[in-house]
Amino acid sequence: MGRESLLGAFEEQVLLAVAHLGAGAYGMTVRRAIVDRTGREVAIGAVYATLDRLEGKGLVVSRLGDGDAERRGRARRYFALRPEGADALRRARELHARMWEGLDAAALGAEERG
Amino acid sequence: MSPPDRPPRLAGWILDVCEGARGPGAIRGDLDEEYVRHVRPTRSWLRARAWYWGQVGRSAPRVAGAHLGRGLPDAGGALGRRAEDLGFASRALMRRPAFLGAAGAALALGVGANAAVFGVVHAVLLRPLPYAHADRLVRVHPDALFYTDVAEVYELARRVRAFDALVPWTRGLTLFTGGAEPEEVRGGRVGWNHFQMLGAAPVLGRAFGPDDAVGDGVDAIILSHRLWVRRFGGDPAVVGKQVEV
Repeated sequence: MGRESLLGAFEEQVLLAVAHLGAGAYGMTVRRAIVDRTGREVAIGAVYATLDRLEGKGLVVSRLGDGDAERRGRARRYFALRPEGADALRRARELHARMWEGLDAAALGAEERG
Repeated sequence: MSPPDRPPRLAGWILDVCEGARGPGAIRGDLDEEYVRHVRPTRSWLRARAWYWGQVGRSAPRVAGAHLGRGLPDAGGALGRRAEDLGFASRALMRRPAFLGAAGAALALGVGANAAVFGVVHAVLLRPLPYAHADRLVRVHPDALFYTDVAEVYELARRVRAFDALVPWTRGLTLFTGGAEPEEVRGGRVGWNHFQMLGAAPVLGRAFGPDDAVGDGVDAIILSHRLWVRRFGGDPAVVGKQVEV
């Protein structure tokens, strides 16, 4: 197996949002999922740029759906997690766990604080 | 009357342009849907529009960068990465508006100053004179300290074969005394073959001829277009009339 590139922090958030939303994952729902869970305001352009990059890496796949009156006929672009994307999320989680091993989150920085 | 609940059209149009005409319009569709469903019902009209504009302002550089990157021959290759770099650079600049403003002002001043200097250099040194053989026109100075006598110029013209024509001329101010009010204008006194030498002819009337060089107490004058329009209202009947100068 070749060397897989690591997911960036925002890429990981976007992939997780797609995983949470399942069949209802399109740009704006992904954005809302991230805003609701992180409390961070995110630009729709940043979400799409990341989704495009993830699709380029083969981690998600997109298809065009329907449009309605609120969207004035503009199609929704739905995204779905590919098996490679699920693997990337699992690897990211393992990596986090390994890096946290032996650390006590509550005690971090206690020495500096005195 | 309450303001309409539609998203700002101009902002939407900017996003459409950035996404490209062939794009599905999914990004604008998402923004419009969010605006109508969630943003407008929970915020004032002004705040909702500010939210929309904010989204477009922060998204446009990324969307345009991605669109340009896709249009390049090797979208995933070096050119595509350069497009991503450009997008990143523009976002970084947008986050530092003071620096962006200062850099933009410095650039504008530099470009403006260069354009002004080039304008002068072009007009004075580069642009040829508007005459038939501008490259063959020269100005002859016999001496830096003394003016040349008219008779001396005609004597030179007779003896020196290097020139097709040699014409005396002098610049000065002329006072128009006839008419409603006197007016001082820039003018010059030239030899009769001045226009012949330049290969130029007046739009109306005639150029000077050898008869004009004979001192009969009446000098012939040719008006500049600007003076003709300003003082004589562009009247073609002015040709052949006498004016007091």
